[in-house]
Amino acid sequence: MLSKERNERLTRVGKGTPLGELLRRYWYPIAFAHELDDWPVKKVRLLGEDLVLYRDGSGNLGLLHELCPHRRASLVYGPVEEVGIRCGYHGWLFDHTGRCLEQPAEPKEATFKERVTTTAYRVEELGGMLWAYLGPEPAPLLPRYDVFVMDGLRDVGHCVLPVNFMQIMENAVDPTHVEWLHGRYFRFLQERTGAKAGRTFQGRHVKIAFDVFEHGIIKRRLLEGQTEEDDDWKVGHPLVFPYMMRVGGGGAHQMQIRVPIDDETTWFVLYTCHDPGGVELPPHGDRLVTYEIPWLDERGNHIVDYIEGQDIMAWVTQGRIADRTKEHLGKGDAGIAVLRRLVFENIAKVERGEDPLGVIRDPAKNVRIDLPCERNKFGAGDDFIVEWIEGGFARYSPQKDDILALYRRAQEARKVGVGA
Amino acid sequence: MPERPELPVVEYRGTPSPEPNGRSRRRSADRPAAAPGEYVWATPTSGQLGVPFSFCPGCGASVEGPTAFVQELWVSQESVFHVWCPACGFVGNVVPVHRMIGHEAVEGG
Repeated sequence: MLSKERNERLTRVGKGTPLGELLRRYWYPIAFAHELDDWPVKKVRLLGEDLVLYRDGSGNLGLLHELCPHRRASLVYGPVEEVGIRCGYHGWLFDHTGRCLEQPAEPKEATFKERVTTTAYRVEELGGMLWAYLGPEPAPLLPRYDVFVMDGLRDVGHCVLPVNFMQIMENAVDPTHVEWLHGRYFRFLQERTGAKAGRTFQGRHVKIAFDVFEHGIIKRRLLEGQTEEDDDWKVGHPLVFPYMMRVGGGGAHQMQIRVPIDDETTWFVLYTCHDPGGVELPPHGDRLVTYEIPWLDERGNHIVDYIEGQDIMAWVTQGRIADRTKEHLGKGDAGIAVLRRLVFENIAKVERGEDPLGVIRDPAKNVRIDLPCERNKFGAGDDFIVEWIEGGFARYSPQKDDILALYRRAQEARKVGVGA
Repeated sequence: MPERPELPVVEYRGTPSPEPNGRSRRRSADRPAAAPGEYVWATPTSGQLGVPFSFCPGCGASVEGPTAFVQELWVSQESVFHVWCPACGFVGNVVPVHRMIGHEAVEGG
């Protein structure tokens, strides 16, 4: 169990809260870049702040406080101009730095506009997504993690969940849930409904370990029948502090992103880059293939016949903010204790005026950040990727068949290569 | 700000002092074990377990405030308290000992 006060400290993301101040030292994806091609203005909520995101006629990306400082109407319903966005109500115009450029109803000689600004935040584009930084200056670099800059067939599933992001992060350092939630429970469903349970998720955990490193926590698992030379133990995969997890296997490279919208809401994004190697990638444009993942059925019950749906069930049923004063952690939950400790340690770092874990300021270290991630996941070889796609969120992808075909071609190419 | 020295991760095992300052000091050994087939209608210790120490084993600073991290884990018959002290950076497990065991199987053995 955790005390009520510590649970608050661990979960509240708003401005001025200890965790909120820590989280404001990192960049967050807030939209897919193509969304602004379709419509140049988007309402965004991040870390409890209501914002308006836009791209103006000059290509400037702006992220401003949603409400106009004049009469507090929403800027979401205003026109973008060559420079800036204009409030739809009385025409006040703001640029992406928050300066007020025009107040059409005021006398021309008035200096009122020079005395008015609005809150403005930095926005950058990376990997087909738009990222925001809500913290103090100087802003750190937007980390160029491998998944966002590598070549490959990109496929992005996402959904908004009514849950605090920390519950999802705790799942990232909870290896044993795999054999139960995605193993035993999936088999149970298979026996009764015919849902196809992946064989590769059934392995029994013998040992788990967690190592803090410069980008977060490396999670390791040793499954029955494996040795410490197997990828799952020797390499593992990381929780990327404080809100992502790098995972993958068999040619799939994925970043699971858990964006804290507010205390009780999270944007869950599964950003995958498929590159099995040895075959030419199919042509794909700059526009990301994105799609929403369903997680409730028409009766309001959780959809649990795929891996992420099972995870979502667990996170959401814990409550919007899990009551950790009533939990009972055991030895198998050691990773959760390590994560929580790391959060507390880094809150204190920020309070001392230091950069927290994972903040990058050296451009030489940010060309491409390759994160450790096992390739032979669960020791399952080629079986893993097929089961991961068929039994996971990618079943909803509009390009699922193309992805599976890519892996089939790669497997055939390897067979030919071996036989040659 | 001077750089903090790297502190070793240690496990501290101590005997809890007698009755606490008004805090609950239920220990795992006190929890009533249900006999096979017996229904357990409630877990009376749930949510009542207090942290049976107030100070960091590393530096003596208070670990009662919300800035310090104390997480209880239940391991076999023991309650293990994973601690991080914001004053000195101590990271370790504090394990109240209620009964000294002379011989037991090596973990994983």
